[in-house]
Amino acid sequence: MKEWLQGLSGRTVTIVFTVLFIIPFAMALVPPLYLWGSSAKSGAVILGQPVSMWYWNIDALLIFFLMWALYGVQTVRKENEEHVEHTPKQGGQ
Amino acid sequence: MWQPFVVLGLFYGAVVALLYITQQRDRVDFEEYAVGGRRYGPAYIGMSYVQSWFPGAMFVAFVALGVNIGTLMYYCLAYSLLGLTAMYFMANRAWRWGQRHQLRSQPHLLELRYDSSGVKLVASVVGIAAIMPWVILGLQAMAILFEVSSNGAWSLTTCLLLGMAVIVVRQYWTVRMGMRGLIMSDMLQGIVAYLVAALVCVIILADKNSPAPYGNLAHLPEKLTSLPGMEGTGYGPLYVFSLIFMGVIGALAWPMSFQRIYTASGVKSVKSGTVYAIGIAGVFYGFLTIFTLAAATWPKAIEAPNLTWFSALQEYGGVWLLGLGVVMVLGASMGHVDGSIQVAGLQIANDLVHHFKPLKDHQLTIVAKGSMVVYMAIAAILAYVTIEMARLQLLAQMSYYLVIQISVPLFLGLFTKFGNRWGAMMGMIAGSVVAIVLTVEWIDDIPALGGLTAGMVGLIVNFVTYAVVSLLTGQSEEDKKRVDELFLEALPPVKRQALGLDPVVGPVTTMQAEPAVVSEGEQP
Repeated sequence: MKEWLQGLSGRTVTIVFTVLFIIPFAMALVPPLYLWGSSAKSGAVILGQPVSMWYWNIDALLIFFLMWALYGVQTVRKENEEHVEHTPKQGGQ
Repeated sequence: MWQPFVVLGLFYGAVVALLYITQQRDRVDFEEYAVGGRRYGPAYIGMSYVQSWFPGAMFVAFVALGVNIGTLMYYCLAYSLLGLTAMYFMANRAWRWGQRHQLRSQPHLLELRYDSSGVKLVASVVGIAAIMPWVILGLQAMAILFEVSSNGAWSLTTCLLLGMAVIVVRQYWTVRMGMRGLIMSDMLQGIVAYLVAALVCVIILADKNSPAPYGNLAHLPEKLTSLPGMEGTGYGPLYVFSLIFMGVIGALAWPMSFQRIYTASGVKSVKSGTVYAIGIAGVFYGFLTIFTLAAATWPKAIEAPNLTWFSALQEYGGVWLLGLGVVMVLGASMGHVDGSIQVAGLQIANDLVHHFKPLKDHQLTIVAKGSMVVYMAIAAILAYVTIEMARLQLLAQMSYYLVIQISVPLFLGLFTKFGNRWGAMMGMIAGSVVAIVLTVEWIDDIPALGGLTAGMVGLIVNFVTYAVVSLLTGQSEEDKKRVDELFLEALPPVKRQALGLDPVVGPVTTMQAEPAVVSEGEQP
């Protein structure tokens, strides 16, 4: 798993997480979606809570788990480190 | 009813004792004073951010919102967490530019990005002005704590003066210790204000005989489960969008929230600190919302929605639990006011005074301390004078619409290479003027625009002005090269290495980075 994540291109990781992050952003910012999520009558209850509450709870949980997953992936790919293991190449700045 | 005062006194004493124990007795420079020496790990960054974000009003005004309007209370959860993702995504550039160029404030970063002190001055003045109404409201909110603790026996003036005295005395330590004092106390205050508060919510929800049992949620009236914007609510469909969008992009426009990035020990700390902050904010505000909705049909909550938190805790656990509830509000309020005053003083010294009259390191520290004292004194006087002023809420709303105008140059400047100093400056000025003028007429939503708020219209004007002016004035080849180099130096070392560049870029030495000369013990 670790090697597989390290082998992915930066572009692939960016695309996957961009698509995933669009979901919680859209849930909170696209009027037809949030109005739909809140349109269930008070009778529609799941596990003791109205559907309109679950809508926002799930949005919050999605944000947390996506952020946590992105941090994990970037850490495995050593993108959060301030140092690299190999000798610096010359050139550039 | 003396018990709440005992709990308040114990908590207050613990905060002051922590500050006394953790103060540095050796010499500190302005870097240490302003950004805590850039050495704090994720837990401190996470809690410190949440303290800068959630004031004591969450337990009063937002709980009242939940009791009155229901699930609209969730909008704050959505924008708080989505706004935090911005901190994660800008971590590479914001922190690395900060470390390399010894940046100490958000306007300082804008100056670097746009190579313009004008952009820095506009952003700094907007930030300092926008913070003031919230400090005033924070001080006035303290009055409610003493009103509740005294069971209404003390007059409003007495409660206000006592509340202000508590904050003013506490400020001695913020002025003396700067960012380090703030971060240390944020941790203790935050644990009580957010984590213990969430635990109390869970306990009350779990008890069938409490004022807010979880079982109540299954029987909420329809008006509490629907959102403004739905048919018959009187709001346009874009109203909730406006509230959440402004919150998301405004999250890091607030100087005190952005400042947390510079206190981190590295990009990794900023990013993991963001994950911590999302967790803390989500747990706290999520449970507070569920608790509030469960209490929303309780007669005492309907009678006095803004006192729901206090009355529910007293009903469930008596005066000792009420004392703990008061302490949570105190912890959140103190952290928010402290952070606001610290960053206002810092920006006055670093971005304004230092711009017109270059100062040495120790002079910057003295000016920052003096600015904090003056800023606090002005806020305290205004808090007293305006306690009965109904329009203060309008001023606070206006200041929110104002501060989010910083987000256009901030986001476009950090996430794209497009735009120049003229676009950034003109955009902020145009957006601010439009937002302020429209707020006078439409403090809430603008029905003719589908529920958009004045701040959102200001943002659109800001964005269009930024784009048009930047395109018309263009960007020189020299400036393009400078911006390209800035973006390259902010790349993670592993990516720089892949491009054949030196992985690590060292700090640039500036005139401000002179030897430390001031002793903590020598300053007032």
